[in-house]
Amino acid sequence: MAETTDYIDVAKRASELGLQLPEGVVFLPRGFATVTTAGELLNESDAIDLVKLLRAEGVTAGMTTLGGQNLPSISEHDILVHLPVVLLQAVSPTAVALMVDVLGNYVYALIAGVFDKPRVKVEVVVQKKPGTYKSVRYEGSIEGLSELRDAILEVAKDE
Amino acid sequence: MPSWKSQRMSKDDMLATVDLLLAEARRVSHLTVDPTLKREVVSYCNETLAGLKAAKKATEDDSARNRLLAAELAVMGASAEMQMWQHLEDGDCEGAWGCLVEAEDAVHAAGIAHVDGSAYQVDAQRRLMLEGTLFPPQVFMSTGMIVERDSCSICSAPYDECDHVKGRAYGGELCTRNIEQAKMLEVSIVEHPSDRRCRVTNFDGFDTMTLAKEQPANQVTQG
Repeated sequence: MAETTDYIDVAKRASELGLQLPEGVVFLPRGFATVTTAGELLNESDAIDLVKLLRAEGVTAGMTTLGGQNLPSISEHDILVHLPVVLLQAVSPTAVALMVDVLGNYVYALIAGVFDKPRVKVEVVVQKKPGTYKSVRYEGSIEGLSELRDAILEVAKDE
Repeated sequence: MPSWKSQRMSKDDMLATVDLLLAEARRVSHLTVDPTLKREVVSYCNETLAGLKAAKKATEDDSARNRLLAAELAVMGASAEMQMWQHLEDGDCEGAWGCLVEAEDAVHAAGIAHVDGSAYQVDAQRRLMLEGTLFPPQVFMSTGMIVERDSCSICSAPYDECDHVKGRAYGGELCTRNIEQAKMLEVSIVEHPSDRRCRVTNFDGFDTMTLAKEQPANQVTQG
């Protein structure tokens, strides 16, 4: 089920931490909303793969950088997928659909055959206008990810 | 079973032979079946793997190479499953567990290597059932680390600078992210580790595989 709430001003927060936000779909680092200094930030290991997969589909995607350098990434050797928080900035409905498909296929490839009923948990932050952001959280089956797509599109058009 | 040594096969014939081999592996993969039959399957698997590797080398087509890789992984899985039975016959539970995990991982990788590899997933569920029947539930460990230096196994570039994705197949090879330098953060007990060979082997003096009380080292007697 997808749940929508307000989210912090991502651009302001990135500026406070000295981070650069690329365009399009951005994978936010772990602790983005809570850390005291940028030195505590870590990219989720899965973010690197998701950026590669989205770019292969023609979607503009990237990760936050600090002084032009990628943040260190964390590698955790359990099979639960630590999906990073996804930020969508001025992204087309087609790109949203592709992003949701890529997420679903990625999780499915990782855990198919390991769990009887694979589940996915993800938070997507949508920029509505400068300074205003909404968070859409989804937890459920891979097949139900269309709910996430619909909720994102609803938030994006809702003015 | 057709011999790989006696004839030159087309890719389709090779894949059909792999299907026959996997069917034979499933047929004999039971506790009561004569161990000789399982050893024969391992021998066929070795022969088949050599044939698949040679065919992969001979073709220029990336998709065909990935398809052959998927078959190769499925055969590796079947071989590991047969070897699991051999280890159990020898009373080597650790070895048997390692082979079963190898078999499970191989069939999972086959499904990602090529779209047609999903046909081999039929063995995944069966192996999960074998695991639950043959072994007691295990407790697993997982490490968390900050990666300081890594590289891609396909192109050797830093992993975040290339387009290859770990676990996917490129030209008949699986991509891996090689972590060359890392800072350890923590070790956790987890339900679903990425490597199920990382497990607690002894708890409170009991072997977690046999559930038998282990004798302290100074009380072990020579037989």
